[in-house]
Amino acid sequence: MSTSPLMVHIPEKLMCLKSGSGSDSYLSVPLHFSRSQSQRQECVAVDDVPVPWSNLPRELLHLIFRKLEDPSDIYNCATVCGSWNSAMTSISPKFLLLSIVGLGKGKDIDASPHRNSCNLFNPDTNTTHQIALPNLKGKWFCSSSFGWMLTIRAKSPHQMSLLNPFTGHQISLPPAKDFYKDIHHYKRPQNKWIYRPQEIRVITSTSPLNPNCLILATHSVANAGENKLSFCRPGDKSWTNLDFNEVCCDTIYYHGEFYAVDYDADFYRIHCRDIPATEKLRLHKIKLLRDYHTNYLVELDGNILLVVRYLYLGYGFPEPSRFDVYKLDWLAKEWVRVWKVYIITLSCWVDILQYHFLPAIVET
Amino acid sequence: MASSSSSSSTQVKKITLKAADGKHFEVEEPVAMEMETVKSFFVGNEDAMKDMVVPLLNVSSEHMPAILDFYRNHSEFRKRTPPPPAEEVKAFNEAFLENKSDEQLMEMIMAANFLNTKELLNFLTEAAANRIKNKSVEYVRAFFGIENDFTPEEEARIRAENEWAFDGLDED
Repeated sequence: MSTSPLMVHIPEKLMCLKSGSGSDSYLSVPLHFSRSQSQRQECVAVDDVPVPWSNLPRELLHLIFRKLEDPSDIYNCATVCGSWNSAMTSISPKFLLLSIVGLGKGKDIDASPHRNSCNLFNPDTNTTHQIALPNLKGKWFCSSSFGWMLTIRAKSPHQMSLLNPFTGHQISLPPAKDFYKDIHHYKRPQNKWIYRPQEIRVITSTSPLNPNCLILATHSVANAGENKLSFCRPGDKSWTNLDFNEVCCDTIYYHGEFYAVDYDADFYRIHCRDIPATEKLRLHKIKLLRDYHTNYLVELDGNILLVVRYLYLGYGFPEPSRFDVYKLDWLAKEWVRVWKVYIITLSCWVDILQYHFLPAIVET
Repeated sequence: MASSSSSSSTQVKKITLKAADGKHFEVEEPVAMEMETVKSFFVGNEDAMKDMVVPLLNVSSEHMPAILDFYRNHSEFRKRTPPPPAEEVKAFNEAFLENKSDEQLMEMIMAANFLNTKELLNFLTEAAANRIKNKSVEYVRAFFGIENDFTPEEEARIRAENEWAFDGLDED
């Protein structure tokens, strides 16, 4: 409930990326509920005296839900009854999951499984909320799409799930160990799989409650593999690996397709539907600085933005030193730089861009 | 506050609105046009004369004066240069909600939805949200008149899945 000191240094524009989209259009948007998951009866009034609120149309109820800012209030509403629970699952409150991610050496890898709480940041109110999630114990977690979290069990075969932190819904994904299956034995270092959960990210095309949802995973098999992208659908028992020989920095679902960006800011379209393939799009090359950086894809006002975060590898912890933001001009086939910001200090490396601000409504 | 346009009232055209229970309200045209439902009644409807009575089937006359007061004041706030201090807007909004029961609030949300005015709807839904903030699940159930239809097992599962801190809630 207090404003996090971390936020002070984070450029406001980045915080607001995508927050504008969708928020004003609710009046015209028909509301759908993911009814398939819970075949419940509608909420009923306690007695025969008509209680006015229970007559409130669902879309108006949604408007009220969306005004709740504190995660515990949202959680409470999700616990009211079955239909509210499924309604909250589709509401996707606009929170960022803040996770502080180490560079992945030694005990840093296991840092997350020992935590039983996570921090949610609300960009509308500029507040952070620490919430306790005891069942995260023994699991690595990070944010996924549509307000869901990805959890990865620390124990082999590293069972993965998508978790809705407000409603408790869980969707099982094939285990992380499955990423490794296509890699030839001789490429495995000491025949061992190096578990790097902090490099696994999962995004989805819709809410994972939708049976037609496509789930794209980004991962890296240390020193071993070509397979750095995999996909599946809800209910699949294994991942379908895609050939991708680059270092995938980030992925995004945009206008019906998955896209990926690699370290050199090359841009790829990922085909998952018919014949799985990755296609490098011919765009003019961006001149990146030679400094160590990471690339992120963000959607804002219908555009794809590329955010390049340069890291200053000084003493100790790497710190972001500069952000460059580019907008994709599809016609000119180039990234146009729209914004540049220097960061003076940031005491912690916050995994701030691994979020996806979410449309409020789920297609069913 | 409502009579701020008295000096020019001779020039301002009036539109007559008819509430659900048949009561008529004479409203200055710019105020009436704040409501999309009224606006769409005239726009693209060449036969509709401005002196026609606009029926508002879902708005009871009980809430009309308050709703019209909201439009008058908020459109005045928007027009004013320099913009009014935030405290003034807040004071008006708080006074607006004072003495409104939960039931009245709900009816006004339905009315605002029918009148299709985003500003009022936003304001009222936020007010409703404020009334259930930091309350227990039981309170929220009672407020909305909703029965808990979870089986004990389901509820236990949800609670166990995410055992959130329940400390610090307001007294019901």
